[in-house]
Amino acid sequence: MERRFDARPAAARTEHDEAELIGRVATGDRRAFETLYRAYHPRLARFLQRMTRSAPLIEEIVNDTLLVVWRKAATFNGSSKVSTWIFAIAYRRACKSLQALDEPVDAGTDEREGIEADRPDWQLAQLQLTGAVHAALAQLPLAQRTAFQLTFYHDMSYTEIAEIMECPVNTIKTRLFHARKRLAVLLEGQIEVRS
Amino acid sequence: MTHLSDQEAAHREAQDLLPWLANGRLDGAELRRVQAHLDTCATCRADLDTLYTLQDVGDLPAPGLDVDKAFARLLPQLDAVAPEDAAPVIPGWRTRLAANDGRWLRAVVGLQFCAIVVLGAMLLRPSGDTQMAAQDGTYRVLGADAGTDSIVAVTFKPDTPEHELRRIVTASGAHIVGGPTVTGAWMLGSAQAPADVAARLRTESAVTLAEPLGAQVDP
Repeated sequence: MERRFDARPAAARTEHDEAELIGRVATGDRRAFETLYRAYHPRLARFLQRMTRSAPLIEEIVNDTLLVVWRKAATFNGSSKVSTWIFAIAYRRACKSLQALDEPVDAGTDEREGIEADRPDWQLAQLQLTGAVHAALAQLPLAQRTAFQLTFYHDMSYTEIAEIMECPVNTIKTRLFHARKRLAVLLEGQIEVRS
Repeated sequence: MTHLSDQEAAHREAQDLLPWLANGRLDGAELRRVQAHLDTCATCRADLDTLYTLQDVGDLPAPGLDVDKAFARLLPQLDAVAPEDAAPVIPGWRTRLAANDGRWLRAVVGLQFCAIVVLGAMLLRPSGDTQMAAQDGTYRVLGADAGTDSIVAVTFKPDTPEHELRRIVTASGAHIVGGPTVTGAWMLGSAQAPADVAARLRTESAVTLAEPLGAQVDP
């Protein structure tokens, strides 16, 4: 499978724009805050749904996170990316909320179960694989699942993930290594995963 | 043997970094090393393909939350809490103020040394005022006026009450600096011309004598 490894200039532009938005939010600019809110609400919700299946709780954590962004925008010093800063707030909030609720931190079941019968075989196989991967990811410990998710579904570097999860870079690499080992066991025969 | 160890180390590094090769976040020397290793390692290439598959099928769509409603629910809280001001101290200030920071400690110690030298020099040097006083032999009590008063001698009628005496002296623009002498005279000092003071004193019926004596008096 061929993929391109570009220098992500668009990401750099986005980062610059987001840093500018944060600067305006710090002055109480509500329009800037709304722009940031609309950009991050779906990203954070997607991130959090692997930590809790409760939609009201996801929304509560997202709003708590962005309220902190509103209040603390002036403290953002540019030492990390805006996305890293916001995801770190969301991760801490989520861990705190889940601990307070004593809720098991797993993902929802695959909502697409039961619709496979109407699909051609290749689509059926794909959906089965998707369901199996979701189920396998849901069984990973929270720390491994979060590191895996931030890597593959939020395209973050190991440095950014280490900042978000407040741990050393090597810990993140180890978590990914163990996550892949575990997935290899859980998905044996369905997908080729080696470690 | 060394070659094998290098291969193993490269393989281990590639295995650690494959997730970030897959998500496109590897760059620089790490990217070059991992790509070079992939050219020679079928296992890592297969693992990378597997990671691409996981990446493609494992993501969940965003949950169907209503962003507009969620934002509307947050709005009242925005009214309640305004953005906080930036911290008054910039990051790093605290560490720069720490007592073990050699940069400013060296400067402070240097300044202290200079202050000690200056104070020592001042202590050893004789005072200019003391030297002058010693030379001209003058002595002045604390609180005494540093200026030179003119002196007027004045005598009063024997039955002049003390309060009347004080009124006359004050009205003349002078003050008592001495007396009474054995002849009953009072020495009055004044910054004004002694002739004027004497003239004013003479207008008083209780004054029997008022004569300018010249400048300065030794108490």
